Parts: sequence; structure tokens; C-alpha cells
Amino acid sequence: MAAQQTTAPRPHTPEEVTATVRQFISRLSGRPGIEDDRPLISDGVLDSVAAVQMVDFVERTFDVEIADEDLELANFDSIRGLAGLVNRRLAAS
Amino acid sequence: MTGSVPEALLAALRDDAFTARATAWERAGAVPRAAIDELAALGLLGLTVDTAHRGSGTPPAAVTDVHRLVAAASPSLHSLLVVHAMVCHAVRRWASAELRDALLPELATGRMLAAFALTEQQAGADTGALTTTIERDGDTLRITGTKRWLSFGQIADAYLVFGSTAGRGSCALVDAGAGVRVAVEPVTAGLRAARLARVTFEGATAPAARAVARPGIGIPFVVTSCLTVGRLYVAAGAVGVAEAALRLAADHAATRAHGGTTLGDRQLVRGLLADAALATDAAARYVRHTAHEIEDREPSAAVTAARAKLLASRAATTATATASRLLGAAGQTEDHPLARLHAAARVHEVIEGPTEVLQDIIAADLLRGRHGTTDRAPSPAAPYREEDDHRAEH
Ligand SMILES: Cc1cc2nc3c(=O)[nH]c(=O)nc-3n(C[C@H](O)[C@H](O)[C@H](O)COP(=O)(O)OP(=O)(O)OC[C@H]3O[C@@H](n4cnc5c(N)ncnc54)[C@H](O)[C@@H]3O)c2cc1C
Repeated sequence: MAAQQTTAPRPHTPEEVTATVRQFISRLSGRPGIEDDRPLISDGVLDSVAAVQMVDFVERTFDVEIADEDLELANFDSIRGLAGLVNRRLAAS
Repeated sequence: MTGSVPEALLAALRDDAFTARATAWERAGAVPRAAIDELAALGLLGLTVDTAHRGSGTPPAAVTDVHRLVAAASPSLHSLLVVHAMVCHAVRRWASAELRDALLPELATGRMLAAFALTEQQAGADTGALTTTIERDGDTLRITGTKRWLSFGQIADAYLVFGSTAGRGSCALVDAGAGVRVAVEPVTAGLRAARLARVTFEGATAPAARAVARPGIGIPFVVTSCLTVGRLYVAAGAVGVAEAALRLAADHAATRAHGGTTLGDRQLVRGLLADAALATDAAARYVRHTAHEIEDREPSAAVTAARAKLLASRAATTATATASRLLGAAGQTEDHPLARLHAAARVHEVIEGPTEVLQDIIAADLLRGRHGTTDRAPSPAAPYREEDDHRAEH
């Protein structure tokens, strides 16, 4: 785990969560400035490998566990959906 | 996961008798269920399952050591470890808590032998082209379609089937039995004893609770995360194959008399050995690095696993070709252990993503952020870090 200490301190506000998700999605897709509602998976913005990277990223970065009931495509298919999911999970923890 | 590999299992796999049995399986073209049950009783199929679910909770890096050992003797049995681990992963990571609790102990103990049912006649490397349907009708799933080349599909008790539900990619764990027709595939040159089957689901049914994650999640999420784990373990097997071939080559070169000296004294032969040794060692280290990334849930793990599989299957190709060359005529007989290693390397370059598909994944990752933009953010794929390599050595 030694190499993980370089990550930024855990963001707390919903705005920070959205900003972090936006930044990661733009890095993952290679496209800056993707709109928050743009479908990421159903529109092919992210390929399947990137899609899985995204789940691991949010779980690790925000220290949340994505449970079975969260596994709806809508929760992963846009920046807004993903940030919303993380914020709900953070609020519940 | 902090468990270790069960001692009795290690002892059984290191015994010469294991290699002798593996040779018999290759000749017969089948690993028998009884042999699998025996090794399962020692914990072979529960390595990746946590102790609460009757596995040994062994960390991925230690699991790869077992895969190396098994593949060196029996690449066919090794392929069972790969598909079984992929199914265990799907259930552990993506299934409901009820399904996890019900099925993981069955899988870990080998009472339920599971096959991974992805490939179809017209959809191999391309999962977008699957035609199998998993229809939901109240509390029941109805599965229709034909899967090909399923490792151990001839004797599996259940199949993790990928298809689509109302147009969305999905998957479910379906029991063998009514509505599931199993036909034997022709024996392949590599992994001769892997009991390949063509399995047709003719409206087979399963309880709706057997769906693993919801439609839209099964593909791409479940399948890709299973393939990530599968790539790690195929890579580990390929390293085992490469190491075994290298041992054969080095032993032969060191002892084979040649014009008043030994084969190993020839510089060109030393060059071949050095290249094969380096390819094998690099792959072994990269596999370990990948295992740590997967254990740590690093977002880069999916790409790293693709790299590992490519690197290791090529190392196996290099090492087996070198051994084949150096052993001369002796290494060309059908029954020689080298024949099975050489053929396995070719299969390792195809399964869990053919070489070209992996190159595509690796290059796509490299090119992200570099397509006509000024954003030069580093790729999410972490480069190899040597410090990671020492963590699991204690
Ligand atoms: C011994 C053995 C065991 C197997 N076990 C299983 C199993 O348990 N479960 C299962 O579901 N499947 C299994 N398979 C099937 C295996 O996963 C497929 O063979 C593999 O996915 C390739 O699919 P394909 O054979 O249809 O080849 P294709 O997809 O037709 O590809 C053929 C070749 O075309 C090239 N190619 C393909 N795609 C691309 C691309 N995008 N870009 C450039 N080149 C490309 C590659 O060189 C590839 O080798 C097994 C196969 C073998 C041989």
C-alpha cells in the first residue's frame, strides 16, 4: 500500500466529489470537458477496460463500497450519475 | 486476504507423482473429475475465496505461485484454475450477498465446478457480438444460445453465461442439467486435457436470483473485471510454462556432448538461453507486480493485467521455441513434456484476449489524453515500480 499515500486528501463536499470525478473521467477518456450528463458507457466514451477502472477509482479514492443495489448502469453512465452515487454513499457512511 | 497456500496442497503439487499423473491426463486427453475432486479437497479451488466462505483467502501473488506450479506440469488443469477463479471473482465481487453466501462455499470446495461461458461461434474476442439471450420472466431467467470452447465445460456443474437481457449485456450462473446440452469439442493441440465443450442453452431456466449484477453491468463491468483476473492467472500459467521449458533447455544444453564440448559452450546457444531467461524472469516479476495492483484495487490494474498476459505468453512462446530448438529431435516427439508446453504457449497467446486485442488495450491506454489535445496528463496505467516487488517476499 506504500505507493498510495501520494493521493490527494479525501474530498468532502459534493462539489469536490464532482470535480474529482470529472477530472478522472477526462483523464480516463482522453477527452477534457465532457459534459456531466454525457453517457459514458452507452455512448462509447469509455471502453470496457476504462469502465472497470472507473469503479475501482471511485471505491478507492472516496473509500466507499459500491453495493449490489448500486449496480445500475445509470449510476455509472455519466459524471453526474457517478458523483451522485459517491455522494449518497458518503452521506450514508 | 492474508491466508497462505495450504501446505498439503503444495506438497501434492510438488510431488513427482503429480507430474506423472499430469502426463497420463495429457495422453488420455482428459483430466478426470476424480483427480480434480482430490486436489479440491486439499484446497486447490478455494485459494481465491475468503476463509468465511470456506476458501483459504490466499493473496493473489501467492495464488500466482500455485498457478505457475500447476501449469508447468499440466497446462490443462491450470486452465480449470483460471476459469474457476474468474467465476469465483464474479460471484465475490458482483453478486448479491445471498448468492455469495450460498455459492462461494460450493465453489471453494469444488462441490460446484464452474465454467466461464463467454465465447460464441461469431463472438470470440468481440463481446459486443454475443447473441445469447438471458430473458427475465418474473422470478425466472430463461437462457438461449450456444457457447463454444468452454474449458472443463464437459464436466462443469454450472456455467457463468454472458449474454443480453432486453438489449443490455448481462450474466447469470446457470446449473448444468435440463435445457443445457453439452457436446464435446474436438481436442486442441494445446491444453489437450481441458475437457472443452460446446454448450447449448435451449431455454434453460434459472432462478432470477442467479443473475450476477443487473443488465447493463454484466457487460462491460463483470466480464471485464473477470478478464482482468483471468489475464493475471493466464500470465502466471504462461510463466510456469516458460520456466519449465527453460529448465529443459538449460539441462539439455549443459549435458549434451557436442564436438568435444557441450552444447552450452556454444555462444549462439548461450545467446538463445540468455534471451529466453530474461523474457521469463521479466514476465515473472511483472506478474507479481500485477497481482499486487489487483489486490490493491489500483484503477490501472485492468491495463496492467493485459500487459502481463501479453508479456508472459510471449515469454512462454520464446522459451518453448528455444527449448524446442535446443533439444533437437528428442524434443520433437509428441509425448515429450516439451510438446505440451509448446502447444500451451500458443493457446496462452489466444485465450483471455488474443495478443492483438491486448496490444489494442495497451496502446489505447497510452494514447488517452494525447489525441489532439494539449492535456498531457500521465496515463492512469502505473509504470512498473520495483519497490512493489519486495512486499510479498517475506
Ligand atoms: C484451449 C482453449 C480454451 C478455451 N476456453 C474458453 C473458456 O473456458 N470460455 C470461453 O468463453 N472461451 C474459451 N476459449 C475461447 C477463447 O477465449 C477464444 O478462442 C478467444 O477469445 C478468441 O476468439 P476466437 O477464437 O473466436 O477468435 P477471433 O475473435 O476470431 O480472433 C482470431 C484472431 O484474430 C485476431 N484478432 C481478433 N480480434 C482482433 C482485433 N480486435 N484486432 C486485431 N486482431 C484481432 C487475433 O490474432 C485472434 O487470435 C478457449 C479457447 C481455447 C483454444
